[in-house]
Amino acid sequence: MTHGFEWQFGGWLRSVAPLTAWAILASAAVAGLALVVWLYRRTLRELPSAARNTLTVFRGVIVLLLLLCLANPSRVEKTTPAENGKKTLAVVVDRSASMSEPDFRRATRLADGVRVWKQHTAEADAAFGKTTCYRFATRLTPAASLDEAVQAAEPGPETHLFAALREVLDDGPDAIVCLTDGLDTTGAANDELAKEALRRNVPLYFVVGMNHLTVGHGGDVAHIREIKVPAKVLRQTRFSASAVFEVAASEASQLPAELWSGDRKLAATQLPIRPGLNTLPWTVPVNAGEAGILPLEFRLGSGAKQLAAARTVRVVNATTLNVLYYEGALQWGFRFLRNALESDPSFHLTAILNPALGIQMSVAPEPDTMTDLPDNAAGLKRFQVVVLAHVFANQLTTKQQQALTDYVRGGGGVLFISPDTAATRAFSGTLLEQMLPVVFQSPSGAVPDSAAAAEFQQQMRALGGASPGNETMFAEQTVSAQVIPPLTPFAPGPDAAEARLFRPGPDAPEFNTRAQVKKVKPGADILAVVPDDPSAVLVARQRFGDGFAAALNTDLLWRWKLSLPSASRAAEVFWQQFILSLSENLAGTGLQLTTTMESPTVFHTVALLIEDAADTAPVVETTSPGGSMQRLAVTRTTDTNGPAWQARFIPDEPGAWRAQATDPDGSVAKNTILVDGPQPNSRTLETMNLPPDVDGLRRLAENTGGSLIGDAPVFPSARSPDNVLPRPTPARPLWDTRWLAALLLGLYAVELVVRRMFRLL
Amino acid sequence: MNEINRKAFLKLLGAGGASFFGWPALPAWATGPDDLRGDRVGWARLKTPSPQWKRHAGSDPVLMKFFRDETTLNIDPAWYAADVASLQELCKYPFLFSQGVGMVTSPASGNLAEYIRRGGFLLIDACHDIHVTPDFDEFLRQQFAFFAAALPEAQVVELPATHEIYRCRFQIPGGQPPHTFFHDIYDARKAAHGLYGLMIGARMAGVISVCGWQCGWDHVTENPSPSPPGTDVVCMRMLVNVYIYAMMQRA
Repeated sequence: MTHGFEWQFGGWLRSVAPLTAWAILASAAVAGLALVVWLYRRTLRELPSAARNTLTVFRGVIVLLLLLCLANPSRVEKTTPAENGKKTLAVVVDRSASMSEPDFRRATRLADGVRVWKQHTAEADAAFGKTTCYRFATRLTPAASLDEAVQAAEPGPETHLFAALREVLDDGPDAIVCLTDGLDTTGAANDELAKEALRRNVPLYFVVGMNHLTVGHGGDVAHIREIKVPAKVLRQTRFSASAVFEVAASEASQLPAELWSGDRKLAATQLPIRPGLNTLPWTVPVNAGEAGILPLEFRLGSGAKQLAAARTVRVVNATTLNVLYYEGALQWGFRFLRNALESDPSFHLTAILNPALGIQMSVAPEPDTMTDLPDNAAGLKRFQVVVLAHVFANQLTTKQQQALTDYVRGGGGVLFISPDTAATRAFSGTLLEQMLPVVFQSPSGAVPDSAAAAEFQQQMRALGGASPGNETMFAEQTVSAQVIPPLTPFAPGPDAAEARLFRPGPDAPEFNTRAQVKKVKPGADILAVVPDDPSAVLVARQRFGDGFAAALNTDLLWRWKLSLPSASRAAEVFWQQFILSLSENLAGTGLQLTTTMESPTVFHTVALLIEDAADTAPVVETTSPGGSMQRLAVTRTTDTNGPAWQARFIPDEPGAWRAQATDPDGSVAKNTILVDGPQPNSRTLETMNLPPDVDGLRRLAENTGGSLIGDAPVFPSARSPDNVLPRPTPARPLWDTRWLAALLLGLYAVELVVRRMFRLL
Repeated sequence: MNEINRKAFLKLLGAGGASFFGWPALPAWATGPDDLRGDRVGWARLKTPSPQWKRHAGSDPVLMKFFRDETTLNIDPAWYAADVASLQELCKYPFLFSQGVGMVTSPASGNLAEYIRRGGFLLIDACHDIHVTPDFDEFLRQQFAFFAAALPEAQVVELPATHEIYRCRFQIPGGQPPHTFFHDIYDARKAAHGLYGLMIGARMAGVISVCGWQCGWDHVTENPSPSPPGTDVVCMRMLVNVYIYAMMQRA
């Protein structure tokens, strides 16, 4: 591959012959320079010749730089197809355990892949002058030949397929052939690999090794990877309980999942299972009920092989919710939001006004030392929710935005409020937007009609009202006739339980102004929309990391509050519940019980990890499949970040073992541990006999310009004209740099200053 | 067309240059007030049975311009009228300006009380013209009596010179609100009055003043006897302080 440089004329010049384009630009340059010289010889004031010449040079250089930009110089990556003798093919062999597992005929996927590939070695030799070989399981290793790659070393316990191919790309091959079954056991996505292969213009080919392994039944191999519930919730509120299930299946099926609280079934569903490895999240809204301990148990599957994992949630009468309010511009909403939160002692409000506002007064009952948003998430840790009210992109530094993002990822809640389309557009592409559930309109796009109309009206009012002595009768009548628009009610969105806050009724909130957003991100919950335009989203929320980010694209509802009778508490209840819905993690995630081993086997030690427990040791017990109970010794562990305890036991029979941890405060966590028979490594993902991921490999290959390799020829012969594949030539404009723009701006500024010096301005 | 001075122009130019060099955010000083506006809000005068209710209203846009120049408030450039007879009208505005509520009677007085209970804020400022306000002490007595009857849970208290209202945005020297005087003839009795806060518990629901700030920004103080230069600005600064103080406390 070689890199070249060429001029690519922009705009309509691109369509004319280069010589003609150059002629036009040269004419424009001469005309422009002549005009500059002529203008500076006829200034309003007489200039010294040195000043005139200096100004002429400044203006002339600006004109020439502008024409240079029009000429559109670009750096072009030209790919000159290498001669066959210099082209390299990388052959990568998957040496993980699943490739070497024999079927009933003693055939392995590795042997099948090698057999298929050897049919193509001749055409590969003709198309590529050089072949390099690698093998991988958990780590990529070069091999001297295909035979060495196939035979050397024992099969590995995992398949790091995508990481290995990404590493091979760094060696700069012209194409890659991989012998694999496509089961990457790390759970990594292949998006980055496909992008990198495309960028480097390296096609990926796959030889899918097949055999006739007896596969298990759908749902046989499954586990509950994690449960997420808040440790503490307020009474009579709603919260989300979620679980992530991992299921390895040989065929498409459905698997029942249930959520129980004691002997009461709260929810049930049938999870669709596809062949292969499935990661299935399931979220259920739960009513907290009255104060006490609320047990929650997720169950997966049915019958004797049903898995269960449980946690408890502490439902409390009251707790303190620390809210940080940051205001970017003066507005009345703060007065009423503050009233709503301070009317309930559960809320503790800390307010920061943008220092640029110049306001010098305490805006909370207790003065706080914080004067601006902190630069790191640690500074926000004591707050459960941060409200960003009408902030502007140029007010928040990159560090502050990063701190907010880290804060939410770590379990915090952020509510972004802005009714101003122009202000939100400036957040397009920022770190903050990446976290929020909505995509803002592009800053370079057209101004929406409503915003343009509002701006026009604003200007007209200023013309008519700001100079009363010059008012015409028309302007006076127009000003006197203007009206404040009526309030608009929210309409509930389709998604989440929290949409109930926006249901129509006498206490339903109403807004005055709103911002337009481009779209809602996939996976975000739409809580409220404009009544006559469901595509116009007013409130959206999404989980981001362990926390929540929400966007309220309206004003702070102060007019709605004023429209309510003074005896009504609808506004207070609305704000309190809305803020509460963003703060599920009132106090961490609560007691958790997990096993650190992927595939426990009988007569081998199983380690249990108990996290987020109290300082005193929890009681940990196991129950065997046969029903015998055993209390385990618990020790402190030092290999985790937070407080944690560890317990060990040796199962003496295969089957479903139940483990339970109980904190001194009554919190309980349960888990089911499936213990296999005595044969070692019998249930790892590698040896579950999962079918090859043929479809996934085909998609990946086709996305990069490659294909699956079967019996038909794949590579064009050396003498075939098709061997010279047309390749894109990426171009990067050299004029589109901030440096050139800064130079132009600087020259222009200097010229203006000099003109001012000589009183030409 | 809005004019831009050389300092503002150079700031803008510098800010533009800074952005080209990759600074992630423009410094706050480089951003003009028009780029940073909050929720839109209207400035309204309370329409009462008094014929003087819209006295000096023609110059309210001057005050609006001052607001927009000196703060990030997104206030409409023109003024509105809020009829005390319509509670719905009152509740479109979080802050109402009045020449006095002495002539407001039931049931309109109930509307005003309900507006305040809902969280609205009322500023009463007497015109300094002796034909409009012949006796400032009597004017205050009328206002106090009105609130004692219409809003019995409220109390009127004189604000101390150390109150935040005198420094929350602009520093008002000595905590003494600026006064304007009819024909610029100093009136010691009038000048002795500070500001009176209408308090419902710890919450300030309104301010009562006899300072005549509206006469200041309407420049009537310059005719026929000129008042000290800058009186209009001082009056508007005090009003901005009252407005911002009202915004920042709980309703």
